[in-house]
Amino acid sequence: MSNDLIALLLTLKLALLTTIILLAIGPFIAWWLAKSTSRIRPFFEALVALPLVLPPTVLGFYLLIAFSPNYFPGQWWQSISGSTLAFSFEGLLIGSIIYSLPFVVQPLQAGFVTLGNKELEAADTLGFTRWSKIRHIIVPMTKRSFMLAAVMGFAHTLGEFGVVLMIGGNIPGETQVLAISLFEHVEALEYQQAHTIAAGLLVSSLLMLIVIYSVMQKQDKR
Amino acid sequence: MSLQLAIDYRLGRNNVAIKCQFPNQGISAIYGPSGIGKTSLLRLIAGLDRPVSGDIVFNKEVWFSADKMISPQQRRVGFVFQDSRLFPHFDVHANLMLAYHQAQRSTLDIGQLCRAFNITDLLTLQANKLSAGQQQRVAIVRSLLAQPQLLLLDEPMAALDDGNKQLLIRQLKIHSEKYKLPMIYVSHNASEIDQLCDQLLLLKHDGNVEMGNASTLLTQYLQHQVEVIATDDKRHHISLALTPEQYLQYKNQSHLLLSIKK
Repeated sequence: MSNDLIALLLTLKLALLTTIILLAIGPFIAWWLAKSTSRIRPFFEALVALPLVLPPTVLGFYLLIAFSPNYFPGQWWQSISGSTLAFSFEGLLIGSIIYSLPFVVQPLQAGFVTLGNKELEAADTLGFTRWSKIRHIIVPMTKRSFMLAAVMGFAHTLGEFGVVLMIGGNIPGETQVLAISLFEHVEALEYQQAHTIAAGLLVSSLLMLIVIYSVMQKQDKR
Repeated sequence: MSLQLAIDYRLGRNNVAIKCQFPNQGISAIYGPSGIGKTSLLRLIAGLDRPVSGDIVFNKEVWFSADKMISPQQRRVGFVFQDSRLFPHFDVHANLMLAYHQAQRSTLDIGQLCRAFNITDLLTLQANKLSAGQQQRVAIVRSLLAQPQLLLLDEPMAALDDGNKQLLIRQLKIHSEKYKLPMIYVSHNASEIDQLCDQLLLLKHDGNVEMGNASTLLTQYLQHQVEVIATDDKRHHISLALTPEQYLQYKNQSHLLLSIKK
């Protein structure tokens, strides 16, 4: 297998795992942000949104330090897994989760705010358990937000560069994702290969967004 | 055996104290001018809102006290909202079935209930495609199907035409008697209350409450609420704005001579 093909598979694996994990934890964070009246909410809202405005290299730099065996998180990881977190796929996954968090949490939060309380109060007075409220009301009524969150999280992770460069380096099959491959090719003046990757990322990202927006348009019409 | 409330609660910026008791049978009304807190009172009974302090006790079961607040689910209180609140993403049938499955060992016949409330033809329609009157009928059947031990109705007939109102009044009465389901009915329509309710809780502007037989209390209250439009010097001729109910009351009093000007 060529290096680029390996990088493609690795990128897809990273994006898929990141999306799955974010869809598992994102709704809880988004729900709290949407419903809480706590005074510390703005602080957490800012924290979640931080990756949107922070240069990815800043995030990557601090993650790199945290991952190093000299500090607690890296040390702890090394003691349970025997390997370092920096320059590993697991490290990359943690970085991606933090980096793509706002792209999953923000659409969900907006969906939960719009959902309001009316149907949920009706469900309370009908005796619904928490689980049946989630299953029959919250998820189906905010389906759009979940779809948007999944696609945004996935697409955004595909395009990750700065964080990966700082914490992952460039190890084929372990941390070399497509965006890094592209950078490599350009540096080596291999424009043919660079074109393939760049155009591939461009077209697939555009396609994903077109698909999700047309699905949502169809839903609006119903 | 009853619902007892002795609570302080917030109404806008004010703290309101109320102490009252509803019997555990028949249909009770809460009546009073708008903005006096009728809906707020229902929400407190249902457990959707929290009183500032006090106690709510239903048949010796403590629903709210200083150290306890149990959920609407545990209270098993049904609520028919002014704005129906059907689940818009389901059809009528699914809305009903979801409620039906919440009831333990349901003894209700869904088909019979749908016929009684005239919603059989609506079952396959999407909930958000119904008219306001249809939605309200479905919402009432839905809350009955969950088999609450107390049903609260917040002006459920505001959006209904007269034919539908009569149907609902009749069916609610039948259901309440047949299944021994106590109901509390909020409205500012005196004739609805007169037809439907046995007892009445009157909320007054001065913060006092009065509880008693619905028609007696309504009659007394409305007599004091007549709007005087004009009088002559000696007060022999008084022009009044009367509601139809008031007109009926005055008409039967022999010392008064009524002439109607519309």
